[in-house]
Amino acid sequence: MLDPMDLQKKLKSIKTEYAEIRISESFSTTIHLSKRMIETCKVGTSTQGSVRVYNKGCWGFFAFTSLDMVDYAMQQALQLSNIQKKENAPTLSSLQMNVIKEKTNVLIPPNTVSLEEKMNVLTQYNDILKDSNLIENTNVLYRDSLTQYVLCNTDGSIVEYDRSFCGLSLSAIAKDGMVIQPYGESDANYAGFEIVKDKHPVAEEVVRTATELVQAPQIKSGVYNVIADPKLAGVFIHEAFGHLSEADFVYENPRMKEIMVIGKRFGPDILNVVDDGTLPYAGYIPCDDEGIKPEKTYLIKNGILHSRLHSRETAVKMGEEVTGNARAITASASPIVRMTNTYIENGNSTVEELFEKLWNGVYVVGALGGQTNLEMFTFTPAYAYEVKKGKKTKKLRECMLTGNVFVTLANIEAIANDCTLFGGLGGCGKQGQAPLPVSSGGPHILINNVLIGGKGAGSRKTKSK
Amino acid sequence: MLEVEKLNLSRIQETCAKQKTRWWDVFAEYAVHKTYSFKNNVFYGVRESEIKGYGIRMNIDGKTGFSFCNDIAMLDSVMEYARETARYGEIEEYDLPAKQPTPHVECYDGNIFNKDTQYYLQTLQNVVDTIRSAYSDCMVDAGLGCVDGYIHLINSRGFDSGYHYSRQGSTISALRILPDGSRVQVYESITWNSDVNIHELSERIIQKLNFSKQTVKMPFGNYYVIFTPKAFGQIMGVVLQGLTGRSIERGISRYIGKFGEKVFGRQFTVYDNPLIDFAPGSYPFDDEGIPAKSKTIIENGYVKTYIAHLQSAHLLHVQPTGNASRGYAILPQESFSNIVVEPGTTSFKDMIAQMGTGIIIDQFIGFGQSNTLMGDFSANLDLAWLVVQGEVKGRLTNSMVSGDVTTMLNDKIVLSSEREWGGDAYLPYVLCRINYSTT
Repeated sequence: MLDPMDLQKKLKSIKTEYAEIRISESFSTTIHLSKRMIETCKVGTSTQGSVRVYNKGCWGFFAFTSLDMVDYAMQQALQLSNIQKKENAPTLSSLQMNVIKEKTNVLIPPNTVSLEEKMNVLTQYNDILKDSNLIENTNVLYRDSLTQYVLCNTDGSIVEYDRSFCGLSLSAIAKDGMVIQPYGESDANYAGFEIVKDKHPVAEEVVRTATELVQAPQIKSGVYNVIADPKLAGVFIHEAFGHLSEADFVYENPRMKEIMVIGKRFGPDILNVVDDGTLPYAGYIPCDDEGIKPEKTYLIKNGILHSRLHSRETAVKMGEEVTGNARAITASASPIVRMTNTYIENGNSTVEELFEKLWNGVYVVGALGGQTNLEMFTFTPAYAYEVKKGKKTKKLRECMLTGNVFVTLANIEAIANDCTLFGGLGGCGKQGQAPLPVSSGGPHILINNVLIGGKGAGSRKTKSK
Repeated sequence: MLEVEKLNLSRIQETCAKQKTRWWDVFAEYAVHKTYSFKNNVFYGVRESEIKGYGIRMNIDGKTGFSFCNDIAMLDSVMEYARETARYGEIEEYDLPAKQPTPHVECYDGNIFNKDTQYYLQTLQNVVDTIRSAYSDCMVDAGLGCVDGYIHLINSRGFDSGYHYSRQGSTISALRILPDGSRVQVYESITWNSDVNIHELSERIIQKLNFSKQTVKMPFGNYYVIFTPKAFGQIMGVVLQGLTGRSIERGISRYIGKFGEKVFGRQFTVYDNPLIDFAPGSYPFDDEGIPAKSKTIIENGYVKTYIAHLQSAHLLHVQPTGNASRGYAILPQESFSNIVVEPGTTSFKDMIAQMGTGIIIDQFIGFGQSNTLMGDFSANLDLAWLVVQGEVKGRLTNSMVSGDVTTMLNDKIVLSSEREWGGDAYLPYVLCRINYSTT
């Protein structure tokens, strides 16, 4: 790895408003087992880097995969940043200098565990997943990476971060007649091999759920009152409001600024939404990819829009404070405004009270994914239960929830007090950068009038007690 | 290819040849990208990158290991990792292809690199101005870039060949906030291995913004629907899922037992063709060295064949189809090349008239999240319009559609005479029926 002090000296030779150099060297292992075969067993190294320069409203960016290209990259990025100067472009003035040297705390460094041992543990999980006649295929996906990351910028910041990321995904595809049903669980974090050990109960739960779901009825499409579990509540708030809080969607659009004006009501008083990159989950960062430390940012406080997520550029252009949310998927990608750990804070109800309030409706559990266009969103639970007279009844498969962001936030009726955050081997995608490690979560939440898509055109609508 | 890269490949070849292996291959990639972008109607910046990487597979005692690096200085470590992972790799008993004649297909047009910065800035500015002359309140993001790339494959059976490819691509999106506060975002993109017609994209965007001036509602029901080629591209993803050797070998393809049977409407014929000059999915040989060839995947509704790379072809006792795709850090996987759907005889305009009342769908949200293994889908409508008596009435919001592709693409479907390229698919407009739900 190149000496950060040398990189800092190189930056001082550039005459510009703002510039940064980011470099990473990684060593990674990926193992993928399926029911019948070892799909992947690979170990490799990658070298990535970039230089980004800002001059009078224009960004020049050059990415490379060879450390001997740093000087060339600096020249190119500087030249590209001078292609077109804008009159009255805001200046990216210097911010606080941060000197950070950090290493992930790990109990079992992944590089101290042999491939043989990793294979042994993963094979045990795969054997559990295969242990049903209804399971047609399995997927045990393991990934670890050890990365030496360096960032230097013209604030004078030097960030050296030796990070260890480790994760596991266990899934099974059940088949019964013509019905094929996948189900899976995943966990990942900045940690060591310890977080993938002793996951036998998770594998047992995966195979049990997949085999139950393949025989479960499909949900009928319609408008329902729903309770979302903490995992789905997290995907909901990530998709429904987190992305809308990313200032690069707002900062130069006058109409969006009117819609997203600070102080506007977006939900009930009980709703508090936070993004916090300092928490020790998958979205943790010691600083963002512009050298700015993260902080606890209230996006919604007591139902009111409180603040938003910023990069250096969006903060200057909107006259607001930076929040440390400029993140890049790799050192060769440009930082853009991203979430970190995003969650709904605890409310004042118990889970039991939520079910009592729902009475008849749907309880949606787990998350397969979600997407938004900043006005409408979708999120897909792993499965659902029909709720009758306040009790969970039969399990249902194949449902997708959708709605208008603003209407759905306003339709949150109650929030429980069991907030939990979740990460995973998947992550967030934006502008071609995926999967970025993030976590999301919340307590159980009760939302009224949610459109659920499923087989058959229904028109049912449930009412709370 | 740079001279230094030739030297690097020779060094890797020599090092691999010294290893005690049953077989080995090296996949090398080198690419220079440059993209100019406008954000919110004004020039934003330029992004350039120069990426190279090497992936090395080694089959030792029948098991395959794999490693990769960007920096040739890591070569010795990479050899060691490939050997080590081979101890735990899958048993792969097939052989790699020897050197053999490959078909000619045009993948490179050097002319796209002759344009200067001013050309890019002016072209993008014209696009922004054209869209904003129709909708002055519109916020336009536009990108235009090109790639100068080279792929080289070497293996232990004497295969030693590479090819240059060029690529030009553009994505344009236009955002309007309507007076009622609703948000309309239309995006269009095009990729080609030669010059692209970016102005065609702005015309499409303006037409779609014209359709979206008003927000309208329609009740739950089963309706006629027209998928634009862009939306049908996502439907095709579900159609083609299960038509790979891997999914058949794993037992999770819904087409198992249905090859040679009629599954779709008789109008529906699909080709996989990697030999279309300058198309983005074209190549002379696949990423394992098998010569490229065109295949009929579905013919008049009958499911004819599936794609297979070396490993699944060996396990299923069929010939590899030339559809292996890999990156330097990724093992070969089966991937379709250019997907071409045969057109129909009805124009898009006549199709709207024929539909009477129904929906035109152009963009989804969350399309891939449903359980598509069975051919089912369920997705929110990001951009869709209500048509009444052949006239577009406005945009439908807060609504979704669901169905399964087998039932939907039946004998009653109508395919348009016009087709559009979207990524590496050349698709018509498609008229069929679908379940619609709304809040």
